[in-house]
Amino acid sequence: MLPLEQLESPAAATPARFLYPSGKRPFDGYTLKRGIGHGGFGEVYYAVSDAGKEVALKLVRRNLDIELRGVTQCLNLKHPNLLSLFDIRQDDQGDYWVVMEYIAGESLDHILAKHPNGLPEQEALRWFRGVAAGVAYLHDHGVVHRDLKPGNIFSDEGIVKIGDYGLSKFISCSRRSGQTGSVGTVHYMAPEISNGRYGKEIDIYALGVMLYEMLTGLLPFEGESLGEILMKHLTAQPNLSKVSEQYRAVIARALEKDPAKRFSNVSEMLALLPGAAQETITKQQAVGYTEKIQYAPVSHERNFAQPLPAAQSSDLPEEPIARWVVGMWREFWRSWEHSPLQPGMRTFLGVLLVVGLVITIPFWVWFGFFAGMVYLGYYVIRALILGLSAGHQEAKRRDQIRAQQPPSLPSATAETIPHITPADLAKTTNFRKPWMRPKKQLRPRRELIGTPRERARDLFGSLFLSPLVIGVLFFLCSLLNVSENTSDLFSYLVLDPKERLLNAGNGSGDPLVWNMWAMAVTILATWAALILGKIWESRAGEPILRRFTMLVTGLLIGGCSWVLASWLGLSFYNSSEWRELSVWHNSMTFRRLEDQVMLPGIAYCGVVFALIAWWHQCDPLRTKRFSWIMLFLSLLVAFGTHVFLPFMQPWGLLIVGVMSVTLQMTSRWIPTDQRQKIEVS
Amino acid sequence: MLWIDGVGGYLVCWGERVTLGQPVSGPGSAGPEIGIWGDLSRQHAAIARVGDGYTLEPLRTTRVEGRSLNETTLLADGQTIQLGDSVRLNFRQPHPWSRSARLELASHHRPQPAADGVLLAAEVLILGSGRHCHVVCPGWQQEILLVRQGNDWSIRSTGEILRDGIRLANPARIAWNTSLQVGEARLTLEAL
Repeated sequence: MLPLEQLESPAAATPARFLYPSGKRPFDGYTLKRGIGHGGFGEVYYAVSDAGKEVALKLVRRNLDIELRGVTQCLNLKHPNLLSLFDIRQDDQGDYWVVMEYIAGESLDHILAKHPNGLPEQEALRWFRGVAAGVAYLHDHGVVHRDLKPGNIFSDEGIVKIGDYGLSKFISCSRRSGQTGSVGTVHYMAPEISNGRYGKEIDIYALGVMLYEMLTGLLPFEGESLGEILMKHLTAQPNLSKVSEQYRAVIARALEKDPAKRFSNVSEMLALLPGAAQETITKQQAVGYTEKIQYAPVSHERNFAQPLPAAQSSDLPEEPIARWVVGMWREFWRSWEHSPLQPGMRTFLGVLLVVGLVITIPFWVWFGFFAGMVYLGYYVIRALILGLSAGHQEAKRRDQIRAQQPPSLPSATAETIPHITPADLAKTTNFRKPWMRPKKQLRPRRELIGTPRERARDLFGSLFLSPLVIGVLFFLCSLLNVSENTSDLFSYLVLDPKERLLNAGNGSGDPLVWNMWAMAVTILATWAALILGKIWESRAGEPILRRFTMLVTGLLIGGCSWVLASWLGLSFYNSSEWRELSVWHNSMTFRRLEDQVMLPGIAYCGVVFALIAWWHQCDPLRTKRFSWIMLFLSLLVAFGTHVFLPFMQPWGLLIVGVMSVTLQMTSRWIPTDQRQKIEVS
Repeated sequence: MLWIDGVGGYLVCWGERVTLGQPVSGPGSAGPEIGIWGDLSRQHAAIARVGDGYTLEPLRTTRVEGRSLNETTLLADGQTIQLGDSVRLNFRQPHPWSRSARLELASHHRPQPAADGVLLAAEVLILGSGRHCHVVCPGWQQEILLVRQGNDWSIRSTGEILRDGIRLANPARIAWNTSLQVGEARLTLEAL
């Protein structure tokens, strides 16, 4: 009643011819009883050993080497959801026979034929989880099944079993080209197979198709002809309206055309299924499958599921509040992407949300600012407490981990098996995105930085270049009319010297002198940051020590700037802006006017130096050569500091901004692709 | 034992009364005609052909459709027999004109020798793709009749019958343990 290998379309199936008659003994120990069917590579027979053991024998006649390599690789795999392979034997004629477990139970194909409207949900899940556990095990052992389909999946004594793995390195071309008149395999073929890509994503795709089929009784892509079906796999979107809502996201993601967008492994897929967290056995007992163990012990699935949360959490920030916010944001984003809303509705809601945010923007700016300031304070304190104890060890540990990362080997199957691009698929579209991007390993920081001599050369280059960049930037700022004072620089250069003298008398000082002073301070600060950054670049970490050093440096630079200003005859106090902004104005803390101006100004320098991690901005291993975010954050911190410790504006912000840009532009940056180790192949 | 390529293997019994029970491995002891590897007695129940139908005689705990059986009862097509606690069989007499019947193992137990089903052959066994056939062979275009006369079997079909490539008369006598190609199908009757 139960062929092991069922032809996919019963209507087209004709009784298969078999080479060997019943009663033959192709090799010692086994007697053939009957043919079962035609598998991926040859005939499958039901046979009994001399002692009475029932087995399935697969005669492998074509493509010998490749198939046998596949089987040999799988010969010792052990998983309750995989059909066992016992041995490979050779007969007198030199043909090979694979001795396999015989399954008396029905194939999923049969079950589906009996349920034209789909299986009951629990039953579908039982099958799916069994298959998924087996496939996860295969993937875990570097084997891609490549030919997952209901005809290859059986249920024996209530346990779901996957067959034909290891034999299906090639999707059997002959079948599709019509040797047996069967087109079944095509329904489960991922689009990238047209490019000859056989990664484990194709199994995920096939799982998606089967889940769809089990739930609805229909195939996601059906057509009159082979070509039509293939074309739909390549271009059409599956119609998920027949699937109940809770399965739509899973199936949609599994059926992504781009393999990179699919689930990267089976456990991710299982995790998204309804009731993934519940104890499934009890569920099934309720539905009346009590007498049988349903599928692989659940612990197996858990084994595969475990690495997942770890991987997710690793890219979340360490700090709990930030982690919570980032986590919430991702959660929101995921539920948004997978929400069952209609696309039009979703767009409408999105637009509504954006409009709402824009209207209330003043509120958000102030809210964001104060929340940011509070968080900043909290973060600094937390970092102080944690960092004092753990900073140094942490840095060491990270460097060690970096150096110890095992080289990632490309999956064995992908390497060893040459791919056949079926002729009928050859002309179809390309998927440009490489989905088997090998993981790259970074060289350790110390190795990347280079010798002391190289570093000194870099540093002097930066030190020489930075004043030029600063000069250009100041000039550009004056052109952009960043402030009255700087625009005066432009007029100063263009205007007649007489007018210059006239202007010089009023206000707080000669604008050119102001500009000279600001440039001098910027250059000084930039040099300090460059030198410190160069010293620290060979190691990551020790943030507290660094910030403290920066604080002291900043205070020194503040002092210098004050001395320089006095020497140049510039007076901060006369600036009207300062007077308006200062919270220290007329305060009792500083009696003398000079103190009211000088001390917060110097403190501003120190705090800005300490709060902004300047060494990150000149780190050769920073993510981008020039990051607008870094510039923006630096300016934000500077402004926040200015609220409490006022500094002559716009100079305070201008110096910080120019410094950030200069640091990023003049310091060395190692492009990302040069940071990798030579790949182990 | 009837082996059909691509379809399955069936244990064929043609006695008027057959017993069901735990198979006996050693020689000389009285095992049942139909052995089932299950938690059964050696002689657990008996099925007898009476007129056009079959009766079930309980020798040990036997249920039909969940009802415990105390005396010999007539079986109807589609009924489920339970032997002991767990062995379940479906009784099928699919063809109205034929007295032959089929027993399907509904639980996960298997007969000895391992087979996909048990055929209780009266005079004729019908093999084909239809629901009314004693052996349902998916995808077959033809029907094959196996006709029993005493202990001899002959085969009749709309397709031609070949043995080792040699065409035989239609109907043809079946030799034991020899494969016959009938149209697209191939089958073998193995003596046990």
